[in-house]
Amino acid sequence: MITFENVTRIFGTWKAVDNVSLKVEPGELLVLIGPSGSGKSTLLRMVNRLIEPTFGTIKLGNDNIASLQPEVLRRRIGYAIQSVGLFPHWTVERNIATVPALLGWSKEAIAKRVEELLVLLQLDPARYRKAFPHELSGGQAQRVGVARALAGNPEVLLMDEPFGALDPITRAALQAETLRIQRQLGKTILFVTHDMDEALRLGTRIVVLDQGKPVRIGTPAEIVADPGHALVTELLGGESLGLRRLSIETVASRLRKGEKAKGTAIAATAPLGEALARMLSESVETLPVRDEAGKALGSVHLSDFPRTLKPKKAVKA
Amino acid sequence: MNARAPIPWAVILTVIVTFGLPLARPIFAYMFPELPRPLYEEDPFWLLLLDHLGLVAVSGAISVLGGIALAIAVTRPWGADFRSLVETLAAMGQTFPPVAVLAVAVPALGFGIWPAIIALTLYGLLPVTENTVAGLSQIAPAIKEAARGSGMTPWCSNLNHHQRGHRSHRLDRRRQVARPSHHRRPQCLQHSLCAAGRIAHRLTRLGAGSALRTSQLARAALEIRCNGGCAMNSYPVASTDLDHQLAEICAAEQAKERFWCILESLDNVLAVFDLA
Repeated sequence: MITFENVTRIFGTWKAVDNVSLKVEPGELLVLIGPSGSGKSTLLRMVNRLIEPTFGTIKLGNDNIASLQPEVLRRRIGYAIQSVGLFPHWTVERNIATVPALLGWSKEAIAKRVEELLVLLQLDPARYRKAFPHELSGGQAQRVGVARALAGNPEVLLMDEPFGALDPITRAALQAETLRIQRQLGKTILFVTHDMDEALRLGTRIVVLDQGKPVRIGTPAEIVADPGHALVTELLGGESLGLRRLSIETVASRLRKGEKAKGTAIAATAPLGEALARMLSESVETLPVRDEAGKALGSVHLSDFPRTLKPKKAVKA
Repeated sequence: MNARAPIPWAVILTVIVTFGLPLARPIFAYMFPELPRPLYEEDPFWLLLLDHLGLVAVSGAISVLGGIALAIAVTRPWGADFRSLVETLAAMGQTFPPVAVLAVAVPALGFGIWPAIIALTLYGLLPVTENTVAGLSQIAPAIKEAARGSGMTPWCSNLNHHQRGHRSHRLDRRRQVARPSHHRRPQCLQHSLCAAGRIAHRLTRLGAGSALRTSQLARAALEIRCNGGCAMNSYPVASTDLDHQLAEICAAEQAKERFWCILESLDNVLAVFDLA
């Protein structure tokens, strides 16, 4: 959906993005993560031409974006940012309608779309349609920001640390919303964050950037199982990496097939962390495991938990 | 009738003064017995009123249009070099007392409407330019970013857009800007309104005229701010007390038609031009 081909961006003497080639697949939520100055925002902002690449090409679908009018291109791309940037003198309704209005939709179509999006983002249309941005909480404002980004029915969505300024509870709620919307609408999303928990939770794939270069690309499970780079280990929290694995790896990965155990069965698809929590609260070392349908599959043992080796090697052995 | 609404009161007072004052000749004659003609009676007052309105409308319009155009030009990347020059020139216009401009202009243009228009236009140019520049540079970066990211054209979002691309791209962009588009107009109107609000505010701060006028103007400025959408450039208002009071009025009158609000505040602004 979005293809970066040998993209470089130089500011003065500093290479913000260094020869990046990357493909964002349709319907994927690709997370760009890295420390400050790793080039993640620069990479994102080149997609809607807020920044122009110094070298290389970027394609949206089959179109080379350099051949499109920047404004026309941007109306095809949703854009949500950390500071939200709602227009303070416009109502929620009008803010959401920004892109449809620029695209010249009819009044009725715009009103319908605004209603749809408010419902999608769980804001009561009757209450919020006519509200002004200063009347909204941070979380509500960002919901409106996301609605505005989605309003023009864009092919892709760019999100630049959209939840970075929110409190943890609101952030978790909006992350859940993002996943739901992503599943419901199947949008291709390019998402920038510096929060590894957010990346692991949201990403179908994660790209770790360092000094303008991708140092690790993989699914959350692959990255947790094998950080493969010192920076990735650091982002994963160093010593607490092991605990993160508990939330990524599932009970199925530690299943002892056919073995029996006492107690209430746990689903094979549940994260290991849930199994550990059950074991701790019930003071047991084994739990029976069942599949989705409730059929007994075997058991899971606490003593197997440290076996968090790289999955490929484990398979070979 | 809303007792705080200024338009009906202004209209009533204007009518009373215009048609009532000539009848007050005996009172003035009594107060100033030494004057043979205590009241100007060569022309009817309504005719003077029309002259007056025409004069301030023309000079005010030139100031507003010219000032906003200048301000927009010098806040673009291609005009940034001229910013201090324009500010200095406008400040010079402000330093010249209108009477002095009249003194210089009358020998050149003769008596009549033209020297008055020139004096008033020059006098009004600084506040308009200065406040439009201030307003445009006060827009929060996040809002510019969002506007740009949503695909507004530079003209429409009135933002800096540094295009590093090929020259032909830039030409394309200008052509696109020049093309009339019904999508763009509302936003551009918003910005002109902001500027108008700023003039009113600026004039308020100049303290031209009486306290009554000051509050009228501040109110007009605020009404433009809430009706016309000038919250984008949230400028300070002289008195927070007044601000609070006016904010209430704003809330009550938000639904009021914008057009009336503009007319009213422009009229107020122009009246101050005339006072000056």
